[in-house]
Amino acid sequence: MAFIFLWNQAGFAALPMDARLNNPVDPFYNVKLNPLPKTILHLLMDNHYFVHSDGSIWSPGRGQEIRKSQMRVLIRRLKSTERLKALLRIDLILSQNGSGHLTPGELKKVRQILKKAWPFFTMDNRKHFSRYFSREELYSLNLTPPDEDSDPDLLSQEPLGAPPPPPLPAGFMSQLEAAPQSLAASPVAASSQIIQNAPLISPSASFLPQSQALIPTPVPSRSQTPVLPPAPVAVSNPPAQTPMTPAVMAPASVQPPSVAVSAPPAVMKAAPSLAAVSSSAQVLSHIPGASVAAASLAAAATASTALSGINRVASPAAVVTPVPSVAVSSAVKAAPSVSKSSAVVAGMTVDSIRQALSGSSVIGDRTYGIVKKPKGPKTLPPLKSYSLPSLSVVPSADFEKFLLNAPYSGDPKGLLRIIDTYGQEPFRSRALNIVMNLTPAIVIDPDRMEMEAHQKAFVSQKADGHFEATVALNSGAILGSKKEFIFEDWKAMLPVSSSAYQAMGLPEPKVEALDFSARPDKVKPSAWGIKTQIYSDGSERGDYSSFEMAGFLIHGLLDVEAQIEGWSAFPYQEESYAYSAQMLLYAQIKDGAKTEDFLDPQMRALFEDWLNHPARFHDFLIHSLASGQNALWDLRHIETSRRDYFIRKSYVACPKSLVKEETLEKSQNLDSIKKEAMSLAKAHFTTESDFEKALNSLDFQAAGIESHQKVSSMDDCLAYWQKEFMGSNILNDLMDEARSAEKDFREKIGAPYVP
Amino acid sequence: MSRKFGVLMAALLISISAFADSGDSTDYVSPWRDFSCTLPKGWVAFSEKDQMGYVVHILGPDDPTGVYRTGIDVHWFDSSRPGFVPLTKAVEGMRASNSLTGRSSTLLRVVRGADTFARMFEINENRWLPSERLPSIKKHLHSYVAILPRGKSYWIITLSSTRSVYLDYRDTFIEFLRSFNPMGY
Repeated sequence: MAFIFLWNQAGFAALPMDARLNNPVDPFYNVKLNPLPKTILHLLMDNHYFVHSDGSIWSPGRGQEIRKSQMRVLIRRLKSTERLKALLRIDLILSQNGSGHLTPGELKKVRQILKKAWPFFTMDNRKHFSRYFSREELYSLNLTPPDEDSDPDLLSQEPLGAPPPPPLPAGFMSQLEAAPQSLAASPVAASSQIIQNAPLISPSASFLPQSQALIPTPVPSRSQTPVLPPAPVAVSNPPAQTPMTPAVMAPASVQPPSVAVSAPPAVMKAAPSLAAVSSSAQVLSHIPGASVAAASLAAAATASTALSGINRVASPAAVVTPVPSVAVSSAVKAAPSVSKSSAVVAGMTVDSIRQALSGSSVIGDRTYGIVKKPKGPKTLPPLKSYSLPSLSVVPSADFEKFLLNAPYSGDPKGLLRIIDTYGQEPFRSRALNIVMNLTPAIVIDPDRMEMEAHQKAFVSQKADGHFEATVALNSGAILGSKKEFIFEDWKAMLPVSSSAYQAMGLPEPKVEALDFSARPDKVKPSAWGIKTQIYSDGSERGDYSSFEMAGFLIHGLLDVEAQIEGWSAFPYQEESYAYSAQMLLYAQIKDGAKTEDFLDPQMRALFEDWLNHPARFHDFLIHSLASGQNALWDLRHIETSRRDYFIRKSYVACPKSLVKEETLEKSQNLDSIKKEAMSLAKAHFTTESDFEKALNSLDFQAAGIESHQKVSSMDDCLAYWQKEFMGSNILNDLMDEARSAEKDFREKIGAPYVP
Repeated sequence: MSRKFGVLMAALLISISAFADSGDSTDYVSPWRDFSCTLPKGWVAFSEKDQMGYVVHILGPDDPTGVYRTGIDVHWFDSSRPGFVPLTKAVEGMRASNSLTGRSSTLLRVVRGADTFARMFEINENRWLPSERLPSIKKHLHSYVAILPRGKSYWIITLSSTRSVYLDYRDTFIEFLRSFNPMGY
């Protein structure tokens, strides 16, 4: 029996763990203290749980009070059950119909079932069934966020502090994850698609007995062992996800192959549900027309059980409810390939299990359906490592020769010469190499800036693999001014590009400086440029100096390189690197000019911080980049070990991982645009009604992101994560390079490091 | 007797650590194991190298307008590093006003830290935010700055936010300072 030891006035007291019953550490759940959403309350009541007037929740039957620690698991289990029930009912209707064309009555039933279960559906479920509803219906249905409890969210931001689990062995996981792709193409697509999306009835791993613990096994090769940097220790962080290290099953625990095998923590979520699935299959197998579904379910149960045995040691405590022989036989009839899977028995090595699985259908840890050999590659190619290529320094004479024949007009040539003269190594050569090798178009065109303030880099890859790039630069800041009453004077820097207002769903503000046909009242030097145009409504059109624009250009050229080399996926590091280049360029210019007047007030404030208070500058950069409007922050991408783990995990989860990534990116972007529209409204540059309309339109777009997200191809997905991995590999070297350049500069000029 | 006592103490420690895990806040130890602290609930920390060694950033909630994320930054200034600035000069530099940003600071006062007293002041300034996106508006930023000297070296801990929300984080910062525990000094 476990004890806890307490110290009181009488000395030590050893209490059994049950004494924690009255301990506040694990109190009973109370809906008054921790309110639950209505859908969850209804779910509990539908499942015969009692919610007493004092807020306590009691289980049906013997009526035990539910504890706080049990609630999450309980809700997850009930949600899973709801999903499974809905999917089985739909499957039954589809199977009974047979023709694939539902009658109006059947369609109505399906829609009713879907509507009821929609709050508990995962994103995948919703995507699959969205065709049963109109856009308006989907909008209202999607107001409740999808349930992701049973879907290990690859994109979730795990709290930092706990060391991440080691990377997964690519070959093994790729087989597991490749299955969903194959199911779409199966001959029994109608039923298998549904079954593919079937959720788990998955009590958490904590419900499993201690005896089911993983036996750690040696990692196959040293190259797969992640070398973790000193990681911060977060005592109360949740435990890191258990790695799926292939383990050899203990021969002592051999059980009949398709009957008793234990489950690994990641795959094991399926284990308790398998019994339910198997029994569902048994029920379905007796229903005429439902045999395919039954076969699939049973086969899934069998193969899942078999697969799950790869990672774990079978133990008596881990024995899953035996799969009824009826279900197994029907499974084998319907899907003969499953027999190979079910032949995976305890005592086999990982290689032999892989061999047994090859050629047969393989299912993922969340998939029941098992129908056809996966289309995708059996084993993904390993992610290629990459190191920072050695930098070839560009001599000034060579660059000048290049410029003579380069297809640039006077202005871009002038800016490039400034970079050549004042740019600091290694940034100068990196930027000039991009110019010489890629010859990107350099345009001074505020209309192409969209929502960017200073520079915007566009990169596209042609069919032959070559890159095309354009760097657009802003010519001057537009300062809008709105006077309200006597004292309030609202000022904002406004975008010129009409596409920025289109994106926000707002009309262009009536500011004279935005109208290129308007004549300024006067043109005079100001802090915003030597030819600042001042208009009758108080708005101003600034004029960036060539020196300042050269800084924008080096920033933009490095953005181009980042997009080609893959490190643009890490915005904080990308911006930090590009800012180092830009600020070092300004520092050199200032050294020659002995003034900072070539910078506008906003950039000068940043430059002064960078020069005199570098720590403060970096803090400011992080806090502003991490804000919602910038939408540039991603905690997954900050620490090396976490970053690489995330990329490896996403790589093996292709193509789903790319869909999720793109969905997340789009929704972050929309959120950012929403906040930008709000800024404009707060500064009184738009009316309240226009802002309301814009918000509605943005909300509508956000609701439709998931249903309109295209499925990425496997190749695109693999290439995407490979590129990100490439960027991740060189990121640390790049940051060291930037730090070293700044340090050398400070030492050279003798600048102290003032906080 | 001593063996029994050892077993009992071990059991006690295990039970205590189990209890410590269940709290709302998170205990954090820096990657270099030179300080520990308690992170406010829901805030996340990460570290990176900088010229003076390393820095830990702890990020909290976003400003309601989405232009600036509130956060705590912990910098260690090691006297053995090149470019090191003595504490008095550093404080002078940090508190210097700037007409360009309307920067101003309050007087120094003393607050109680984990095991020592920290000197603390506040800074106010205006910035165009966001700096690289449009529309950009002038925002009033506020920082609480605390200095914890360790010999000639020192820690600088800053909580910065927009002025509109800074009062919400005053207690958070004081609590953070009380939990801040330099190790190995």
